[in-house]
Amino acid sequence: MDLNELKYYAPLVLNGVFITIALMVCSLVMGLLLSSVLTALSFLKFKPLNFIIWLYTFIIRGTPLLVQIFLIYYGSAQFECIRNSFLWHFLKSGFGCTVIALSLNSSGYCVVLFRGLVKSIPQGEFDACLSLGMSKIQMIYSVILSRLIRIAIPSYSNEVAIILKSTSLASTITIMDLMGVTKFLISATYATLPCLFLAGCIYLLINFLIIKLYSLSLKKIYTLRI
Amino acid sequence: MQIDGFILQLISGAKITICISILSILFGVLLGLLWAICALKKEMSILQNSIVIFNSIIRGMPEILIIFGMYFGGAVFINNILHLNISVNPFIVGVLGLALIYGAYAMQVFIGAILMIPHGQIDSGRALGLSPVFTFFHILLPQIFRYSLPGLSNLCLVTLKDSSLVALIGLQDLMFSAQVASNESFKPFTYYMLSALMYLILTSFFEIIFKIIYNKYRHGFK
Repeated sequence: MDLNELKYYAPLVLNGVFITIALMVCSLVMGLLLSSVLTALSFLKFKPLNFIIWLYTFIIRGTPLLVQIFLIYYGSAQFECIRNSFLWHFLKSGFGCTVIALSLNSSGYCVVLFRGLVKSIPQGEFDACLSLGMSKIQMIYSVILSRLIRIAIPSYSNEVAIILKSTSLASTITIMDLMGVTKFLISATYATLPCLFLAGCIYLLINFLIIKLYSLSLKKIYTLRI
Repeated sequence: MQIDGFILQLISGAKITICISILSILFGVLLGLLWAICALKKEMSILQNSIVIFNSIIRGMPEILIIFGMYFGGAVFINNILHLNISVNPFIVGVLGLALIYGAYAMQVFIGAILMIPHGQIDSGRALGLSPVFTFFHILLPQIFRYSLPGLSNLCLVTLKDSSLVALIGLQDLMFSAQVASNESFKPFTYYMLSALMYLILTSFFEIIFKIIYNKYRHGFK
């Protein structure tokens, strides 16, 4: 692959990078929302709900992401009722399926993480809030949540890196993300090693940028506290 | 729900999944231990730095890219650059790729475990006149395993799940047979659900085995 060819394929690669980042951001936001809701629900002390959440995390953490993606993408087409419902708008596109699968997957891991973090908050803080006469919503919003965000960010960085790596699986269901573009370039140019090398470099670069962004935000958060 | 006789195919696929994950876990543990020891040696700074950089490269790249790179890139490398006429076996590539990924993550676990052992134990081993090799195998290694087992068991489950990626390079594992069955029968949901169930059973089984091993290693230790 010479330089002229690279110039021709550059927009394709950039588009792939854009799709990878879009997939990552969408599934991060959705996963965060879902896992926050599930974590909040799991502290309601309602036994059947707790069992359902446990079962959910057990199933999500016990099966490969590839199976989950295929189950949602190919499996949902088996039922007539899904194909006729409004859900089909999301499920018929590979992008929607990947976002659903990735956010479900990430929420399964995050619920366990967040539960551990909430339990690590000392009981004295809850007691102090109650003794100051705060309502429960006030307590969660102004004391617990700010503390939770501060301790969750370092351990959540792992999850971000994992999701970035997992987005490459979208290439198996016809999404032209960075991995899909790489596969296409390999079959178009027969330059296997340079293409794979390029893809690896771009993934490493994105990962490096995320880690840098994280350390910057961490600095900001820890300086705000003092 | 009808299975249509694909169940035997799924079971034979599950066998290959178990084979490939156990082999790659074994190689990965060896690789991770070797890397951890090399990374902690103070005398060889070039080797140490290169191992750390290589590790962060592997941990920063998607698993599918590593396996594809080893399979397609390896084929190109062997045929066009080394000019050998060898076809690349997906099973070997799968085991090596998964072992590489497992080793890269296991290295971190092992480094943590080695650093948890007080240095005085190595010194007292030396003072008693034990050889460094004997000290390592009889004093350090059992403790390293005790400290690193929880981390390793998590990684083993990750490897078992990552082993589904070898279906993409054409190895007939559980994922691949589920793909074949769903393409043949036009019932994708049934077969992917079945394969998910089998993966779930396998991971639970691995977890139980690791719990037994952990309890054995924790014997006489709080």
